[in-house]
Amino acid sequence: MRRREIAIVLAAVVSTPLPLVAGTVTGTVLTKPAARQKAPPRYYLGPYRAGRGPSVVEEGGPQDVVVFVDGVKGTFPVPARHPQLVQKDERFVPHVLAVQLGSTVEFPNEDDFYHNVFSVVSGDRFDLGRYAKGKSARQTLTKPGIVVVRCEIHSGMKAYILVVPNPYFAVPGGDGAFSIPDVPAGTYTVKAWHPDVGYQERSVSVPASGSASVSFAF
Amino acid sequence: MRLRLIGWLVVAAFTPAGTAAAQTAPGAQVFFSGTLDLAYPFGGDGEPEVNRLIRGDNPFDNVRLRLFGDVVINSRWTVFTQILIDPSSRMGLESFLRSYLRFDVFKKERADLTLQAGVVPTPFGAYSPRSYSDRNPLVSDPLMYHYFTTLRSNQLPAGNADLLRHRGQGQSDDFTGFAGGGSAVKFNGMPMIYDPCWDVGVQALGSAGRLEYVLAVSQGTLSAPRFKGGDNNHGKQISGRLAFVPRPGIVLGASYARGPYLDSTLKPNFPAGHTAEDYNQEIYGFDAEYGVRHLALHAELAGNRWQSPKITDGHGAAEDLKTLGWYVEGRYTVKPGLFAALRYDRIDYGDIDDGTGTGRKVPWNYDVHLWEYGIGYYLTDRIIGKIVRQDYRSSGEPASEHFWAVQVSASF
Repeated sequence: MRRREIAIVLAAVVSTPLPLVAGTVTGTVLTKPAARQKAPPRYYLGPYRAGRGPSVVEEGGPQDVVVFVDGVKGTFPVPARHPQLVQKDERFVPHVLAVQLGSTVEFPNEDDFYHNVFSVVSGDRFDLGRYAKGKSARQTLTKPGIVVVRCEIHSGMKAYILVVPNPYFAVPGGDGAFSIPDVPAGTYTVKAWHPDVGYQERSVSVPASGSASVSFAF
Repeated sequence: MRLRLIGWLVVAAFTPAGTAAAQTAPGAQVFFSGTLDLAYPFGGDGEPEVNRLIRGDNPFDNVRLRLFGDVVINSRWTVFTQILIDPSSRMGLESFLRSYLRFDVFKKERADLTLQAGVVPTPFGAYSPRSYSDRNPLVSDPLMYHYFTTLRSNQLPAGNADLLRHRGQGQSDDFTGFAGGGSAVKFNGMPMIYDPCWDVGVQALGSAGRLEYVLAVSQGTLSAPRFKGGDNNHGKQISGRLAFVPRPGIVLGASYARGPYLDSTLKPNFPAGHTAEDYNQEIYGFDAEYGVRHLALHAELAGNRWQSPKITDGHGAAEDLKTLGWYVEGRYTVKPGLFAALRYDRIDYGDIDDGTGTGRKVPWNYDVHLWEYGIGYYLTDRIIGKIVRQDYRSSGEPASEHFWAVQVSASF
């Protein structure tokens, strides 16, 4: 009986992905005005439905940056919760979504008309077809990297999904601050990705406890 | 004018897409975008003449650059401008400039109203929004939106026999026209609807629940838009479209337009007491759209008639010149990034008395029909490659033609 209990405890320790010592990577992301774009309305597509078309919105701010820790060894269970990229007001919300490799992303349609989500640039190629308000389609992302998402019906719609290899990532808030908890102690490359500027890298030593700070400017 | 245009284009060409390039007024922003189309027809019977447009341009021309400049003044006022640069055209850049001012009156959850004024898009049918190369699954435009009849707005057929003698010549640049008076300059005839050429006018458009609407008043007509040079007569065209959306993926629309199309300068050739405003183009149309999963279907039908002063029924009474144009089009996504498309397209002409006194009725122009089909592939999310084949049939000469073409369309 005792041997069996010990075996169970050992198995649990070996299978758990969380290390016994872990720190937090914190920091800030600054986006200069040049990196922030106003998405064009692209009304040229004709007179119909124009009144319900998208309005001008700003893209490329800190909320559109993904920060992640690269090179963390181990296997990481895929989160049960499905991240969402919502189609609303002829836009994808959020403009940039970060997900862990292997995640299944939901694409709910909240507009009164059809959308047709597809991606052909890199990573997983998919075309989810047309579907109406209240319906959703899903796609499992099995390749790391950038997935450019578009709508086949509304050419002005565009979003990005950054598929990262582990759960150690964050999307900054509007003030640019971010925090990535429970990172195993060690020295890693922390990467930040901006859809219009690309990647920036910083080397960071994560302590066994406490935090390490890093900042990026795009 | 041309220098200013070129300057504008240079600025546009070197400005990254989607950026706020300039602040033209407090809070105003300018956006540039565009499409670049490279096409190469090959095989078959050579030049795809049937696709030629009035300004000498053609969707199968080797290079076509379309630039868009949108000035967002504030949340309600916007100016939209677009220009086409096609080196194969025979007219200046100003002939391809379109610009209009838009005012969003209100925008609510279930209804909206917008007013537009300037050189405004075609307020008829459902093709106009899909005419751009990044939206068109094929390369050509439907016949009813561009194919030339023999009628002209600045010249009159002297009678039925004169009209019939020139059947099939409207597409030719060398068409000198008829003997009934007016300009004898070599030029094409008019299409039923000249979609690429917008018109000077005002439009009210929007939606209310499951209805979409557009109502327009313009100085030209669908077959003879007047986007520059002022009105050619004292009448205005009234046009509009009402569409019903029973559920997402299904749109049923009905359109109507009526307006005088002849030049006032032709008055000396009219019967006594008549003016250009007595001779109208009247056209009605129906359109339908159905989409499900990876399939999109579009169909349109338009019945059109022109009143012409010297065309009679053989007994002295006026007879209208009628045309019926329709097409069905399908697009199916075979796999991610790869789609197949097909369009069947035709124009049939109404019968008129043949002018010989025998009472025989014949179509006033040669019927034409067209198949176009092909496949397209997204090389990137912004670049589409297409290969299409077009088969043309006519009741005149040549009776048939065909060719292949590749097109690469990039949007930026």
